Amino acid sequence: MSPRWVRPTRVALLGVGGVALVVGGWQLVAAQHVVDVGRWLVGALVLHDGVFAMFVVGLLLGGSAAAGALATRGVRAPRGAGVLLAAGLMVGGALTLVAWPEIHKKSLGTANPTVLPGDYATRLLGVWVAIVAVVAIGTLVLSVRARVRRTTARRGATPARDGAPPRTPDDRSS
Amino acid sequence: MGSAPDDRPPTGRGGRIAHALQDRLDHPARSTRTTVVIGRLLGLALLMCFATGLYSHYLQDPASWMRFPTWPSNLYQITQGVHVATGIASIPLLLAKLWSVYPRLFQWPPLRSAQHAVERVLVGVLVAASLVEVTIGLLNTYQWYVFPFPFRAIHLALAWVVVGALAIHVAVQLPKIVAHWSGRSREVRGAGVEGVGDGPAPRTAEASRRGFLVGVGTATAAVVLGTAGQSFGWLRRTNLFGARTQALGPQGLPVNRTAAAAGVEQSATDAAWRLVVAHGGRTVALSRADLEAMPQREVVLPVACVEGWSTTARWGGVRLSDVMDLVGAPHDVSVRATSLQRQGGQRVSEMGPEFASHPATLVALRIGDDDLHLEHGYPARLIAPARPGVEQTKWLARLETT
Repeated sequence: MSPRWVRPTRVALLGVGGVALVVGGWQLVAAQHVVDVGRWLVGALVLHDGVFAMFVVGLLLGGSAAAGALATRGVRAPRGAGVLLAAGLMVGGALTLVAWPEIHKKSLGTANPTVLPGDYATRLLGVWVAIVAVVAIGTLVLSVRARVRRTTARRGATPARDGAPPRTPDDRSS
Repeated sequence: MGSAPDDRPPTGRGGRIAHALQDRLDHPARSTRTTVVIGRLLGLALLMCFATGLYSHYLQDPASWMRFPTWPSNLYQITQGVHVATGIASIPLLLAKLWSVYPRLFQWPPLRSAQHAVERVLVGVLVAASLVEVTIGLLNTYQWYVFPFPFRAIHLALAWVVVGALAIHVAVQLPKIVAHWSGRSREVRGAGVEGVGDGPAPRTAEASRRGFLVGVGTATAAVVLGTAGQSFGWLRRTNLFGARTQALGPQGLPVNRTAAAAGVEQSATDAAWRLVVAHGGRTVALSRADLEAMPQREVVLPVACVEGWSTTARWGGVRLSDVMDLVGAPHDVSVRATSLQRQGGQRVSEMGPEFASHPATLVALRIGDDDLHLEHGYPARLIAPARPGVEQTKWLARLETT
């Protein structure tokens, strides 16, 4: 049961949206580049839905296939490693998307040396190296902690030989 | 929008293919809740971008009755910095939003009714316009004009299209948004139509969703932190990918149009240069020595470019109102400034009386203790608070009331 304000808000939004669309459409026509803009709009849809999204799908499927193949060989990634890897790829991917046109434009030349003054290619490479390092070290830390947790849990299930109470994982926190 | 398709059972080969596709694309992090969480962040970013963008547009193209705030003096630095930062933040947010609803592209049947067709077309318009808008915005900060249309007109037009399509989109989806606004949407799960995926165990799906949101948040923070140092000094140390570096350039200021590009190298360094000041029938021609003999003021003001970057400097020169007093100009009229530039959109700028009479608006002759550099507008340029860099006219030739 939707709250009472939903319906009038929807109507208002439809009205505002319609007006804004008309304003934008009229300005587009007045600017006289409708065909060029239209081509870019269609191209953006095709590039994203067709190319980019499928690339991400491929990455995800490939990643889970690789994880499955490793699991059959007894190598199981610690909990959280998948999230760490995904986050690393998202950060790297986002920065690459933003920096790549910058790198290309710099190679084409700029109007003066204060435009695009940095060595963006090297910086992007450095960012990826840092991401790989963080993901690798993070996975290592996670697997060590997982192993510690497993070992302590196992020891806690069987009574200690000298009758002392079983140690909890917190005792061994580093 | 979760993994459970909410359409009729598959009929015919098309339906079966579509459903097979959607199953293949299934992922525990996809759910209506995720879509709402990212959607409201993206919506907020786009709205802030739109508001600051409109402000920037009207500053440059005001209607004659418009008056603008002159305080704080770095107002435009802030608004345009926010404009570019929210625009760049929209890139990973938009891609994440699209990822979270991607299987909906293959819903079956593709067009259930006329209303459904209109909705889908409008979603297509929203997606396409948003993608193009953030892309050309980013490319503009790199001055890479690879698109075959004029930036300013199309960027404004598409902004209206995005906002309009977004408002309609929110209107259509409002019940779902309200239902999933807070994390407790038990009643929707009971309906079984969409929402939390039925597939993997709820705890794994929850962790996957949270992990996805952490990833998106980190990616968004990374692109913003990596570029916003071009606008905001306190972020300069993380400015790895901004189009400009703050304070990098002659006299500690980046340059946009060079003297060579503007074609003023001869005229600006000519000893016979005079600043012509006119009001009604009265005209006065001032040499640089004449200007230097007038009472000098100093102001600390930023040059804030429409491209988002900005740097602050200490400017020295004569108050504009003192100069206009020489021809008896009243303090409630607009002033038009013309540059030595022979062509280009920036050769003429106009400022309303609130800027023209402001004590911090100078005909600047110096940056710091040095004479104005040729690249920064020698022999004289305009500098005013809360104005975009494109209107801080360089290589002044003429000042007149309008």
